[in-house]
Amino acid sequence: MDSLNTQQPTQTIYYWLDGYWVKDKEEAELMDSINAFGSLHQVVELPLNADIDREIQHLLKV
Amino acid sequence: MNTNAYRLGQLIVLEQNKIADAKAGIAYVKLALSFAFITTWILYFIFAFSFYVADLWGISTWLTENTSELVAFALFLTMALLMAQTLSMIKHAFYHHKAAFKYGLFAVLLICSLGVFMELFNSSSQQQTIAHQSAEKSKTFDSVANTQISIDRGANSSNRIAYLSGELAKAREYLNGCKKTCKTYQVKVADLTAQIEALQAGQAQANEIASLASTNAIKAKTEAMSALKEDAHKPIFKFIRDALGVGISTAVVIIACLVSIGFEYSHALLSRMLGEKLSYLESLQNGLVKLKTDYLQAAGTEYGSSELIDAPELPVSSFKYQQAAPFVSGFVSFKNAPKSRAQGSAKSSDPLPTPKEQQLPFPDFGGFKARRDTWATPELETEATTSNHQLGVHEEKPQQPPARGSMGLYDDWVQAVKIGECKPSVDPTWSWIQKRISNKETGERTPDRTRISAMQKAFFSRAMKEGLMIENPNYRNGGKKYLWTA
Repeated sequence: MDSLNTQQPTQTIYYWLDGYWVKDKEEAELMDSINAFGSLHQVVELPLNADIDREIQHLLKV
Repeated sequence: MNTNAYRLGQLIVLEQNKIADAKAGIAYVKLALSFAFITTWILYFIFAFSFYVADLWGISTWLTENTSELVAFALFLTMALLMAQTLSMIKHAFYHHKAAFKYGLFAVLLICSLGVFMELFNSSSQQQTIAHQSAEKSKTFDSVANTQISIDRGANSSNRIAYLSGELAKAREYLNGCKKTCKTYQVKVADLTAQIEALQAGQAQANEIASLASTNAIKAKTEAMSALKEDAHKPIFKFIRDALGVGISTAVVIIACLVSIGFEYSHALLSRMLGEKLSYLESLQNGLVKLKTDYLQAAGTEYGSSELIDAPELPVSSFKYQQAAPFVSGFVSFKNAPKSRAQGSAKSSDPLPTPKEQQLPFPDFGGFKARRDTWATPELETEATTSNHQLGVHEEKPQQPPARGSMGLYDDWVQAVKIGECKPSVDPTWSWIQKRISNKETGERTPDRTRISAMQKAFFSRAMKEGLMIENPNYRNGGKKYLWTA
């Protein structure tokens, strides 16, 4: 059972309503400061090997 | 339903962008038509003035010499002005009319022919004037023009003839009174008569030769001057003359005709372009109306964006989705998210918005913050803004389907590049961003060049990710580092 709880290495993704995402927190905050993308960014932790585009789209569609 | 409304909302935004582009294109064509109108006016005025009053070259001299003819001058000048104004207005109005209401080829040809003829009249005359002035200023021409033609009339025999006539008279007198020497005087008279006749014949022939020589000399001088004038014409005219075996005047007219036709065709083309752009705009506006109607049916509320058909561009400082309340209301469950989270009620699953719901001020976008505060800064955001919404993949997801909130500064920049307002290069984009945030940011941030550069890089990064621009593979110093591909 313990093997099921093994933590995968993750990465932090900053994404917006329009589906665009970046990995850099400073860039995300900078873009928010000028309302570059029409909304404030959201944050998600994804596995390192995740298909980010697909995951973001999935998050936005759900 | 919501997905459909979202799709329609996006299509409406795209349609509005296309309309803005089309309007910019129409404005540009109209500007070109205005310049064409001014050119036409000047062209017609020169024609009318040259035709009815005097050649514009040397007009000051002409005026000095004709100051007493003020009435005639004033009348002809007025007519030239009115003719230029009327004809150019007719032409301008016709091309605008043709853009909206298609016209037959004959009417277009008629208008174009009038322009071609007047241009031909002006340009060919002007070329002749230029060539003659150029020739007359040359030293060669001056030398030829000042050459004196002297005719050598040969030996003058009139004195000799007079002398021989006197001798002949004497000999005849002696012959009349002779008794023994008659034979001698008869011979002398005959001899003198023959000499006089020979001299007179020789003199006549010499005069004829001298006259011919004089004529030839004058002709040669004239031809030399004409040749110099012809040689002063532009090489293109001489090329046409030699290639087609025509005179220089014909060559000038041929070239002037080609240039005139080119101008008139371009002018007429503007009209066609305007017509096509107007039709395109009309189709876009009809499409926009249809999309908004579909949106109304799908979302149950009007797409109330401030981006109206006649005012597709919003002020840069405006956050469009904030003004587009009905657009937000299209995501019903989105709006109800806070309530559903707080109460866990089933109301959050209500599929359709109600008019009452539309009046809710600003919904929680399922975690996304609406930019209701102008220029909120990251520092003002609490950590909860991000950390509270951190999600594990497929563990905690946004409870509502988020929608594209609005077009932000990045989309404005993309539009600015598309309509040519901003170049997709580092410095123009930097300046573009700086202008748009300078009145929003105060204090220490305003002069922060590094920060604006970071914004510019982020914009470029996204544009390249979206395939709007690429790094120039053939970039060299001084060239374009980025290429806009959209």
